[in-house]
Amino acid sequence: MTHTITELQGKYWSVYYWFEFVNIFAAMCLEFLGMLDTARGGTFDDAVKIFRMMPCNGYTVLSLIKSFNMVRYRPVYENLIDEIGGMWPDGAVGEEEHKIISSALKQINFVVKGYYYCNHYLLVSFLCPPFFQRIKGLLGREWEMMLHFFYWLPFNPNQPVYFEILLTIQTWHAIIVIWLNMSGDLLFCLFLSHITTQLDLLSVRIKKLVLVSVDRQLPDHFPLGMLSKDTERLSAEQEIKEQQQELAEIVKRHHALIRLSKDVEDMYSFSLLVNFLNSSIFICFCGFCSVVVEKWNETAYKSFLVTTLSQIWFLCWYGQKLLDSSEGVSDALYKCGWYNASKKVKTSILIMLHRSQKGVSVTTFGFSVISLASYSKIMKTAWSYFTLLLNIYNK
Amino acid sequence: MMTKVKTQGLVTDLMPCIRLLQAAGHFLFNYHADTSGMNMLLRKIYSSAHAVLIVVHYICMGINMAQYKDEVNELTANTITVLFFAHSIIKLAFFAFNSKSFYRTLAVWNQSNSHPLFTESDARYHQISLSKMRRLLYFICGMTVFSVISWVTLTFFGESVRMIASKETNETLTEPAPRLPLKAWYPFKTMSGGGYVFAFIYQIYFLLFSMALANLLDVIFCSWLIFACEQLQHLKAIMKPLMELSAALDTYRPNTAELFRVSSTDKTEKVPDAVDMDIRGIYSTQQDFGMTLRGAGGKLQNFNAENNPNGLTAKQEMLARSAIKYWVERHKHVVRLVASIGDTYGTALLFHMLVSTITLTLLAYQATKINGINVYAFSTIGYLVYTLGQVFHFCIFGNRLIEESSSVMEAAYSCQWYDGSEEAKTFVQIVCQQCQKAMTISGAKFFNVSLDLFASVLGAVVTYFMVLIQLK
Repeated sequence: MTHTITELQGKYWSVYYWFEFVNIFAAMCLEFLGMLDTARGGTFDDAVKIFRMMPCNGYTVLSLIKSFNMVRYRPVYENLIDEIGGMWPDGAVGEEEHKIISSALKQINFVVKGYYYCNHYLLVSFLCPPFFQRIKGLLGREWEMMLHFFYWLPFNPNQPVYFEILLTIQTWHAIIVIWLNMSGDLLFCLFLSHITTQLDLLSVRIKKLVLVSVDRQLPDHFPLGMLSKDTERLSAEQEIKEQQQELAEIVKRHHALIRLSKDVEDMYSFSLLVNFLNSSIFICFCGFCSVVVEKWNETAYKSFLVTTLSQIWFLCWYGQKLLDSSEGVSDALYKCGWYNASKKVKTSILIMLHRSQKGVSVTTFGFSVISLASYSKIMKTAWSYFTLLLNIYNK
Repeated sequence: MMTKVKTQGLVTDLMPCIRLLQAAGHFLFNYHADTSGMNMLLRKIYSSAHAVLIVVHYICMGINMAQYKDEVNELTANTITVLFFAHSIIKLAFFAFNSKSFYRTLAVWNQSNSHPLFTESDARYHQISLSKMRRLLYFICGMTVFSVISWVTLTFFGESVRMIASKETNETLTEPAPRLPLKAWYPFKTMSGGGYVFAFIYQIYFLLFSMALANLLDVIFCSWLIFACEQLQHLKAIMKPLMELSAALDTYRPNTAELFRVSSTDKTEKVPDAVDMDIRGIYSTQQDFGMTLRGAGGKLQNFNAENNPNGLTAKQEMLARSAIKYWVERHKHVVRLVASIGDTYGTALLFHMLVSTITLTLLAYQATKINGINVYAFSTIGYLVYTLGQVFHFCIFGNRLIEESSSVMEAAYSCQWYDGSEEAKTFVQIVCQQCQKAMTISGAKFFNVSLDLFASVLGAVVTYFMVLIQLK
C-alpha cells in the first residue's frame, strides 16, 4: 500500500485478488457441502469429523470478510496509515513521552513478530503430514492418501493425478486463508496500538497545560508540583493566550483520534463479530476433542485451541488498551492544574471531560465491547458449553 | 536494643501489620531500623526457612493427593484442601516477586499537602482510619487463630479413617489413617509415637502460618482501602466549609459609597503576595474572615465594620483559592493511591478468585453428600464459610471504596454552591463530572471488586448445589 504502483499493476493486483477470492469462496462452499454430507452419517465419528472441518470453514469465512473490507475500503486504510503516521512527534521528545513511545513500540513489535511466527508454525505443521505421506509413497513405502480438507467433489479425489493437483490447490488455499487472516488481525492490532500511543501522548500534553505554583497545598513531590517547579512562568495574559491555543490544538487532535478509532471500528466490527462467534464455538469443540478424542500426547487439537485462545486474547488486549487510553485522557484532564486556569479554559476542560469519560472502544457490530471483561465472558460461555457437551457425551 | 525505625505515612499506620507479615515469613525486608548485613541475612534466612517448610508440607499434601487419586471421595476432599492452601503459596510467591510494587504503594502517602483551615478535620479522619485498621487487624488475627483451634479440635472427633472403595465387593471400606488435622504423606510412620507428635506439631505450624500468610496480605490490602475511604470522607466533610468560604466572596454587596472612598486601611496590613501562597501569616483570627466555619448553615457575611472590606476580600479570595487547591490536590493524591493499590494487588485478586471459584464448585459438590450433624458436615461447612469469608473480606472494602468515591459528587452538590463565586461553581462542576465515575479496584481488568462479585460467586455456588441435589 505504501509504495506507489502504476495503475496497470494495480489492476493486475486487483485481478489476482478477485481470483483468490473466487477460489476461497469455492473452497468454502465445497467444504460446507462436505460437512453436510458427513452430517448425514449421524454417528459420533462423523460428528468428530465435522468438528475437525468446522474450524477450517470458519477461518475461510473470516479471511474472506477481512480481506474484502481491505480491498473495498482501501482509501480508508490508506488514510489511517497516513494520518496516524503524520501525528508522530518530530525531533526530540521529553522523557515521559519517550518512555510511552518506546514501550508501546517494543510491545507491538513483539506481538507482531510472535503472531507472525506462530501462525507460520501452525501453517507448516498443519500442511506437512500429507506431503510426508506422499514422499513416503514416492520412496516406495506404504503411504496413506490424505488431503488437508474434506471438500465435496463430483469425482473421486484419490486417483493418481487428481490427488496431486488437489493437494497443491488445497495447500495454496490454506496458505492464502491463513495469510489473509493474519494480515487483517495484525493491521487491527497495529492501528489500535498506534492510536493508543497517540492518546497517551495527548494525555501527557494535557497534563502540562496549566502550571501551578508550588506551596504547602501543592508540595513539590506531587506530579503537578514537580512539573511546575522548574518551568519558567510567562506573564499572566501571555499564559492565558498560550493555554487557549494549546487547548484548541489538543481538542483537534482528540477529534482526529476519535474519528480514526471510529474508522477502525467500521472496518473491523463485522469481522470481529464473526471471529468471536467462531472462536467461542471452536474453543468448546476443540476443548471437547482434545479431552475426549485425542490422546494426551497428541498436539493437533491442543495447538488449535491455544492458537484460537491467543488470537482472541490479542484482539481483546488491544481493545482494552484503547478503552484505557481514551479514559486516561479524562484522568489527565483532571490531573492538570485546571483550578488555576482562566474561566474559558475551565469550561473547555469541562466539555472535554464529558466526552473523554465515555471512552472510545471497538465493538463487535454493536453487540459487545472488545475488552478483557468480554474475553472472560467468552471463556465462561465456552466453558459452560464444554461441560454441557461433556455431560451429553458421558450419557 | 533495636532503635525505632523512622517511618512516615502509611508505613507508620500499618506498622503492626507489617511486623506481623515479617513474623509470618513474608519476604518483607524493608522498614527495619538496623539494616546491617548480618541482620538482613538472618531475616532472609528466617523467611526462606518458613517458605521452605511450608512448600515442603504442601508438596507432601500433593503427594498424598496423587496417591489416593483413584478414590473419588478422597480425591475431591484432597483437592479442596490443596486448593485451600494454594492461596498461601500464591500470595507468598506474589509478594516475593512484587515487593517493589508494595513498597511503592506504602510510600505513596509519605508526604501529603496541608491547609491550615483543614488540619483538624484531616487529623480526625486519619485517627478514624487508624482505629478501623487496627480493629480489622485484630479481627482477622482472631479469626485465623479461631480457625486453627477449631480445625485442631475437630480432628479429635469422629473416626480418623480413609474411605476406600473395595474393587471386589464394590462397597466402601475404611482404612485407618493417622489422627492428624491434614492428610499428607510423610516419609516416616505417623500412626503413633514420635512420628505422630512431630507430624502433629508440624501441621499445627503449617495451618497457623499458611493461614496467617494469606490473611495478613488481604488485611494490608483492605487497610489501604480503609485509608482511602477515610480520606474521601475528609474531603466530603470539608466541602461545606469550603463552599461557605467562597460563598462569602460572591454575596458581598458593596456599599457604593465605599467603593469610591480611598481605602483607609493601615499600611501594615499584609497584602498577600500573588505567588507565595503561605497564607498562615495572612490571617490571625477567626474574625479576620468574618464568618464562622463550623456554624450550622453558616452566616453568609459578617464583616466587622472597622475593617476594610476590600482588603478582606483579597485575603478571602486567596484563602478560598488555596482551599480549592488543597481539595483538588488531595483528591488527586487519593486517586493516585487507589491506582497504585489496584496495580499492586489486582493480579493477586485475580488468582484468588480463580482458585476460590474452583474450590467453591467442588465444595458445592461435597455439600450434597452431607447426611447429618457429623465431622464431615462441620468440616465442609467450615471450608465453605472460610472461603466465602475470604472473598467477602475484600469485596466489602472494594464496595465501600466505590460508594465513597461516587458519593463525593453528592456531597459537592449538596453544599451551598449556588451562593458561591463563579470560581467555586466551576470547581463544583468539574468535581461533579469527574467523581461520577467511581474509583474501582479491578482484578487485572477482568472484574471489579464489589459486592456484585460476591453476590455472583454466592449465586453460582447455590445454583451448582441446587442442580447437583436435583441430579441425585
